[in-house]
Amino acid sequence: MDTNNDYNFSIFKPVNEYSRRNRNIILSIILIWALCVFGFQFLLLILEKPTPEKALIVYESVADNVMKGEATIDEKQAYAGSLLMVLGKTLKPDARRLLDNTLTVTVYDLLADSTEQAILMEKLMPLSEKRAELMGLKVAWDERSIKYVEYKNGSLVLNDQIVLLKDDLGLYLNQVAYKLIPAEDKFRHVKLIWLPYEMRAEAILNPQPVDRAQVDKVMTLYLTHNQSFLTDFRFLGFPFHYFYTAVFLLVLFVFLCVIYAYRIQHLHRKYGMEE
Amino acid sequence: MLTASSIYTGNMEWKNNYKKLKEMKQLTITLSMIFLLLLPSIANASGVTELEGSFKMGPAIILITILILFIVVGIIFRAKDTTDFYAAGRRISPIGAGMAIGSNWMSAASFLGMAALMYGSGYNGLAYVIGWTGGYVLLLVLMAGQIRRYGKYTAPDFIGDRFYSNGLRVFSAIVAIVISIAYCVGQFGGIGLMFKWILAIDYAWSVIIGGSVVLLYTLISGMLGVTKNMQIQYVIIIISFVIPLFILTYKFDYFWLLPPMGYGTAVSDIVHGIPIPPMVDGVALTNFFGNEFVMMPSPEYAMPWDPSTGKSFFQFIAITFSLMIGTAGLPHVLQRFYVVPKANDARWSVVWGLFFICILYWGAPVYSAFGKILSINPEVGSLAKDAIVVYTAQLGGVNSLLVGFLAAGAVSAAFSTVSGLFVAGASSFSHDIYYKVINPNAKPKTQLLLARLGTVLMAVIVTILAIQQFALIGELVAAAFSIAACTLFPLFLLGIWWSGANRAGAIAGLTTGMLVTAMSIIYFVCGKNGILLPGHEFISYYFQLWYFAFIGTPLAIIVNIVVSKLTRPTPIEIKKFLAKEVHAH
Repeated sequence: MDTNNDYNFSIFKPVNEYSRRNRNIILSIILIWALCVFGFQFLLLILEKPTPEKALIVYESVADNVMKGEATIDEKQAYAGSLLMVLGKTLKPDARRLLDNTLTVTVYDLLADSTEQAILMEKLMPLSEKRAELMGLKVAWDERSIKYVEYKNGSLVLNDQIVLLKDDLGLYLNQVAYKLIPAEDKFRHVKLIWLPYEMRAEAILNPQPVDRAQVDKVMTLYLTHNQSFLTDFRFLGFPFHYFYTAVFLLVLFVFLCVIYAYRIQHLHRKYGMEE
Repeated sequence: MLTASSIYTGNMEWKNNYKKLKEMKQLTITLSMIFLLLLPSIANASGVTELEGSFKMGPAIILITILILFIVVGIIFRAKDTTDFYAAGRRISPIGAGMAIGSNWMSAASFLGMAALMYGSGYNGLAYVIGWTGGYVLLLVLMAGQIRRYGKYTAPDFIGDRFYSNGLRVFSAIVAIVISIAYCVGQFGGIGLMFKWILAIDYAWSVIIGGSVVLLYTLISGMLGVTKNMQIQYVIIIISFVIPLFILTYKFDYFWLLPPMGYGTAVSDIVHGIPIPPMVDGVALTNFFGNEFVMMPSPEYAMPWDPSTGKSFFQFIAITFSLMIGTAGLPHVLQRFYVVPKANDARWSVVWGLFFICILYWGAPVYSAFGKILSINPEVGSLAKDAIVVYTAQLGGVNSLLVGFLAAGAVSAAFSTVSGLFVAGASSFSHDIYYKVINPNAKPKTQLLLARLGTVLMAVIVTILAIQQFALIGELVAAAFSIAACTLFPLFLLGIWWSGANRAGAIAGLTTGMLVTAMSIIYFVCGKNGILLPGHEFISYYFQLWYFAFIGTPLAIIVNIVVSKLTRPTPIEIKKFLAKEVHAH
């Protein structure tokens, strides 16, 4: 008569040759899988170093003088340039507002000439008003105090007006660009595209002291990255670690599955266990 | 052995199949004719002139045509009895089943959500790519063949029998329903976004309209229709997803012959910045709005767990682990192994399924990379991350008909998954709870009726939850994975691979998994409503809703083992069945 223990089964305690081989195939596949998936990420963690972007190094070298009001024009330009390098990224709204205000004050200061400053404000103020209107419309829709159609049509009209005003401001900033961004700056073209989007009239109309600690924090957060030779080395155009995770691991998964299916099929045939 | 009756049955089946094939051909010809007749008007009316805002006629017609196709195919191959409804009559080939697995798997989370997560949090989004594919390796080596050999229809069926407990059967059926609902919420979110984009109506109405259509379709078809449809859906999903990739990589002058490799240079360009727009034929490349194809260096997009994304190494690992383990515990995925004739077919269906899935998963990061570059200009404004795939195609100036087809593909992806989930949830309700526990004498007709009632109820609950927009699609779906990983996965893993796992251990393990799940959900909901419970920060970080399985699953497994060791052993019949039938000792 069978006893309860006759049929004890565990993957770790194979009772015959078939089970032992089956277990070995399964465990070796899982081991390769785990090492390749998690082992590589741990390797990235071990090797990584917080690496600053060039813009952060520039920022840190000129920020003191700018804050003390002792900066040269070149230093102010470098300061504005490093702020723009961050503003060209995807930022949280609070961080963007903070840097926008700091940038506007710096650009206003760089223009120096009172006529140019007046023209800047003349172009900036209606733009800021329209942006505030658009924001108000969005808040009203979020609170459902207006209908979706009203919000949709209203925002379309306002967006068109904002684009026109922004283009006008952009044209003017291009005229005075020689005062704002050095000609040799590799990203001058992109910075000039971004500049009109980031200027805020409120920063001049209601000036607030620049919160140095907050600006430092935002700059460090957005301009420091975890890098190592695995992230800097390029493979088929990719940063290597990105290729490994986004492309290679998926190939490996399919490969492991094919290997397993073949080996198990072979094992079953060998032991006469075809269904 | 061949008998007169089996020959007769075989002939009848062949005749039925032939009739269906004929109907299918007629249908395809009719739909193609309709589509060709409508094409000129589509071309004229398809001007997609803005990202959002106006009704888009072309995409709407494409979507409606595809939905009609799904429903008609569902009618032709509809379920006629319970075997058809639950397991598609076990007549599906491994490649067919692989396509169905792929289609079933490629949900709104894969089609829309993954690119959204990479677009928003860079390298950390890749955790979802490897999490949702790597789990198939576990599923294959630990589950597929064994589950098929066990020979049950549903996940609760397996648990109820293996742990000889009707209570566990009911409990796991409820868990399966909860998982299906959590999973469907994300899908309805995706359907809602696409209907909103096409119809230019409020999100809530989009969810209601889209949800009603998918409900109607699932009610008509059942799993046989669903399985056939899934094969068609797979083709639509992949074609709609891949074509814009070739166009984008070609248009923006990257290596376009193999977009999943060609976009590597785009990723490096994002890291190092694009200071001036590349020129093609003397014209500067621009996005849909005429903004130049330029950007500041953004290493945060590709660098691991970048501080600016707010994501950490722990979260990357925890999400990857939870998604992988969850994959091997999802009832609607496990259920697909019951539709193939043999265990060997079950294994090969996983291999094919994973390959078909990877075709899409290699492509998703391409959308995210192009989306990043094309939408960086502030003029584009803040975009709904979950719709970034469609916006990227639109911003890249892909033909509006193809963008419409892409949106229809996204809806198909959500449809195929939702219908599979509804079938899994409805099966749990009518088969595992009603038929197996409440009324074993229930007629098949009554079971089908109950399955359909269960589907309607689930659809209503899912619609209400989806309208709330709790989180990103990918995150909502990840929550379903964590629930599956904490609750069902330990029962399957230990149930298959250790005869010592007994009823008491299963109950204790499942209870532990459910407690961790409940804790995570309660903290998430309270946090969302501004209520901070004790230990809020700790729980919200280590047991976050998207990855609480990282701790919950090992805990549930340990509790299961300890309690099993301390209590009465598994009955000999169960051990014997496991050893002889499942592991062929």
